[in-house]
Amino acid sequence: MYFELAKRNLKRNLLRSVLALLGIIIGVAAISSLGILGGGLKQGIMENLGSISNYIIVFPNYQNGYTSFDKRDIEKLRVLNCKVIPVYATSDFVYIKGKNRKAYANIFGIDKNDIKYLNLKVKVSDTSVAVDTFFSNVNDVNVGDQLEIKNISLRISGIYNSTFLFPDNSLILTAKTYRRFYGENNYNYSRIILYVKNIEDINKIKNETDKILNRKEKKCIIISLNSILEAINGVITKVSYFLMGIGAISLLVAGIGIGNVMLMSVVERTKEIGVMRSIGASKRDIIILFLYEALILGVIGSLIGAFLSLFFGYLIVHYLLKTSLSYYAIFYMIIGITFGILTSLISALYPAYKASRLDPIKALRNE
Amino acid sequence: MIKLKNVTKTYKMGGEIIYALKNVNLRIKEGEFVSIMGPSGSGKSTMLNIIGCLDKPTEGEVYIDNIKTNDLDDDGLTKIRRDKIGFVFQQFNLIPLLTALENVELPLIFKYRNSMSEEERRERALKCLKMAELEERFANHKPNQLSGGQQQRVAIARALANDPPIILADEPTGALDSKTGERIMQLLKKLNEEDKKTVVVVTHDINVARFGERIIYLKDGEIEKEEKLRGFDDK
Repeated sequence: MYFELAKRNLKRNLLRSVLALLGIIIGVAAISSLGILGGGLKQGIMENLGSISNYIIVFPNYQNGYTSFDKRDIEKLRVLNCKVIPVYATSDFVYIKGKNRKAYANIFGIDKNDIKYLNLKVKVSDTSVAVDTFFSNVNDVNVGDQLEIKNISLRISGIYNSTFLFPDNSLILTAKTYRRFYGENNYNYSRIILYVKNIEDINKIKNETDKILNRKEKKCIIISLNSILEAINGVITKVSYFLMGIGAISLLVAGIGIGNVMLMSVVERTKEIGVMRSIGASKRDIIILFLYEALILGVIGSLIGAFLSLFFGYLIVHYLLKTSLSYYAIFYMIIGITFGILTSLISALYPAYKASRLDPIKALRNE
Repeated sequence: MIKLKNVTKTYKMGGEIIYALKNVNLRIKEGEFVSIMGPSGSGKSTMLNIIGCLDKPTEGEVYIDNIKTNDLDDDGLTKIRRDKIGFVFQQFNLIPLLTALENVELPLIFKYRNSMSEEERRERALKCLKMAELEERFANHKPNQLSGGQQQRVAIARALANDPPIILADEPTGALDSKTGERIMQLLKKLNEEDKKTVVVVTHDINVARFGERIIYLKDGEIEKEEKLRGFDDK
């Protein structure tokens, strides 16, 4: 019956209730869709960079005169709890068969069995080559086209996105093919990629690598992206909370609106409150009655607002960020709904308290 | 059933102390029908409010059904109002958003919350409407669809909802024409005689007051005189 009475009271001043509702809807929609915007930004960056956060790259320290790693270095690193991937690197001219011209490219050689750990989504055999999107675009080549290095034909078997593991304008050969071109007994690797399964272990393995290779002097430089990624994520999180804070301002205004509506309602219903008190309603009953009204406004407004935010969020994420909406949207909708309902209840607290404190005699005399 | 012992009620108005009630002693027995008369400002409303636990005396003691109400806090007073007293007002004071039946259910909700089933609550409310002699077909009407007399019957049914021993009526006929008013008074009399309710009516209309067994005249916050109309043998 409290619920029923609250519902009818809201209907009695329908326009006023709808306006209060509108405030909550806008507030919740603002918070949730700004949250979804932040979530979309984060996801976009993770999609682009996330796949390389499991890697550590070890470069020789050129400043101390080191230019490559030998087999012994590689063997030393095998004790680490990670996949050690030695990488050949050079740059050379590549002849593009169909176009009848030459291109200069960064050429990498990686053991056939190691390529799958690099998350490039390409397969390379001893007679084929994978190229990155940059090379593919600049030279207008595609899967199936033929390249020639040192007069030997190689079929393009795949195209991968350029990441920080490999610079733009790169192509990948198997280690065996690489040695065919650049020296059969060449075991001098120009970098080592370490694939770490758990991101949490990255720092530990970095330290261990440092201990193993840089024991006597600084022989190598160890780079990982996880710290950069964490920093970027941190910034985006802060930005999205800041945006949500701006959204929260509109919710605050909505809360003031609800408080105002409730206060008016208390004044108008003074006599009714007096009557209820005289027929046995406790202070608590009166408070509950008003909180119910706020709760109804809060729940309806928040649900509509959250639903709208899903719509706006979809527009933002799909058209602005060009990624897809995912589970994080639900998280921000729940945050919006929670704040919407809480705001409604909190802003009704004072009016409800005021109503409960009315002197029944004075309230009864009120017309 | 009701006992006021040396009850004084004062108000402060602009630094001046005004006596609404001055050292009033009153005893109303169980099953009695008492009218309180007096001109406006005589303190009769204050007296009713104190009996009805809406107000506390400045001095003196008040007993309702042998419970000393002076010491009770707001919740305690609310429980007395809810369980021991049924209020009937001059302006009916029904909740306009609720139907006649729902208005009668309201005190039941305040008392039992969810521990009483909806069916039982409806049944009891309907029984009260029947006691107040309102035809059942009006049960789902809103107050503004009912005549004054019908509204007052709903209000009386509401007063009966929690089966209180006492009914307090503040000018129950004040907003009704004399014929309807008389019927309402007959209803209160019936509740007094058949259902053994202790009834206290505040009025300035001597024709209304005559329904009581005893009339108490108030003047300037003091009991001026008492008039016994019918023999009230200690029932």
